[in-house]
Order: sequence, then structure tokens, then C-alpha cells
Amino acid sequence: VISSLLGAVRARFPFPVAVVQHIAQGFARGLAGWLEQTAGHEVVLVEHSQALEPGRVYLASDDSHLIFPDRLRVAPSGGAPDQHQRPSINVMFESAAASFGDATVAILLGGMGSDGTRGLRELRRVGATTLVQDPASCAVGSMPASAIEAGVADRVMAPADLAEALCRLASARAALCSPSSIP
Amino acid sequence: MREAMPVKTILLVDDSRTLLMMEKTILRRGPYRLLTASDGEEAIAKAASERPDLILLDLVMPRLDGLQTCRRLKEDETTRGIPVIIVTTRGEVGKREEAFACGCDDFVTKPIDACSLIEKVESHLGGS
Repeated sequence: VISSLLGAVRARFPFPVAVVQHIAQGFARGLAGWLEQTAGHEVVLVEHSQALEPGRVYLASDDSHLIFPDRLRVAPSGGAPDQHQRPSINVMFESAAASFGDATVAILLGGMGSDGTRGLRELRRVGATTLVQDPASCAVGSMPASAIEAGVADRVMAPADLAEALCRLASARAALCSPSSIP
Repeated sequence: MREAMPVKTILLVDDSRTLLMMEKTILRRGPYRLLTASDGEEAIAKAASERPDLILLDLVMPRLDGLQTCRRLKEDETTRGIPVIIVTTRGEVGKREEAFACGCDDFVTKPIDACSLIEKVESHLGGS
């Protein structure tokens, strides 16, 4: 689903995209290579602190959290696992809420457990947009189901609709950021 | 022979482990020893036992909030001299006067800007 979602947005996407995938240790590099090939975006495995660049996809390395120390940077963190997960979706979402606030668009896809729910709650509190994959469209849907049950999803959507919504939201934000939109 | 500069200790206080990770990532670039506390009571205990050179204190925490923690730190003779920087959000600007009355030395505002945080930390640690 991540690959099809990223593949559906244009190659010169005007914002950075960060991805956390629960994956067995040792497989993140292979996932980065596969995503780059299939989705057509530059995919960077976050193994050191670096500046965020529009159009790049930042993938959490295995066994490190992905955080945004401030609004210009992305970095790995070896902090303790959160709900047994490292990387943790909650940690990435909470960090995005602190650094980008209401400018964040967060998407929670299918998976097992409840990682992401607490992070989406914090994102909603700061006015960010929260989209959640319809559990009916997931191989394992307990993660999005947890978020829906907690009332932290702005919209619940099938993967194709998520891609369309992401493009629409990005276009609206890019227009807001464009110098030509300033009167 | 030149003596090595003593490493300064900073106590980071926040109930969010994610926020602590973010602050640690920013400050790890400097020559600091970083300690953490996840609430006001733990911060007061660590300040007394570890005597940090600076405390970065979140304003909103459960039980003992940043203002109450700051007041207690400044009331205690052993911790009174430690500079306290309070971390606020834009919506909490109104609390600044109250925080100064509690003895806080400075503020940083969320979203944290790494450069301005480092500048403030260095200005309070410089030469002390």
C-alpha cells in the first residue's frame, strides 16, 4: 500500500514524506531500495540527522525511531521502544505535531496493534489532518481500527482515495506556500 | 598544558518521551551531559542530587507543572542558582509573566528552533 500510495503522487512532490514501517531488523535497507524502484521517488534511509528536502521520502531505519528535532531536520533516535515498537509511529507523529503542527498531513495504514493512535490524537490536538486506511481494505486492520475507535481519524478511506486526498491536500498547501499566492 | 573545559550538565524535563528525544537530538551536537526527568518531582530530585548547570523545563506537565516546579527549584537554596529555561507553546505566551514571577530565567517556544535553543543554552551556560 505504501508503494502504491507513493507511486500515485507525482515525482516532484512539493513536501518531504516520512515513513515508519514495522519491519524485522535488517530489512529496512531492502525496503528503501524496493520503494525507490517501485514508487519512483528518492528514498532515504534515516541513519543520521539531515536537512529535510521536498520530494524525498524518508524511511525510518530499523531499530531507530524517526523524529523531527525541529522543522528543518529529520533524525534517527535510539530512545526506548514505544509500545514495544522501534521505530514507532506514535513517536514520529508526536514529533511531527511538535515540529510542524497543523501543517502536517498524517496517514495511518494497516497493521497490527494500536501504534499510531496516540500520535494521531496529538496531531488532531494541534490541528493537523489525520487520514486512516479503512480496516476493511487491510490485510491486518487492528491498527487503523484502534485509531477509528479512539475518534482520532478525520477521514477513513480506501488506499486509492488516500492517494487522491494526499495529492489534493499537497496541492492546496503548495498553493498556499507559493510566492504568487501572496497578494 | 591546557585544562579541558568541564562538560556542562543539562537537565531536560518533559512528560513526553518524544519531546525529550527531540531536545536530546538537538543538544547532543554540543559538549553537554544530558539528563532527563519525566515530571516535576523527578526534576526537583535530580536537580538536587545532580546539580545540573541548566534546566530546560516544559510548562505543561501532569501533577506538578512547569511553574510549580520552577517555583520549588528557586525556593530551594541548593538549586536556586541553576538557570531555568521554560518551554512554552505559542498559545501560552500569557503565562510568561507568571513564569518570570516564579523565577524562570528564559523561554523557548515550541515548535523549537534548533539554532535558537542552542543560542539560549549557550548564553546561559557561557562563562559560568
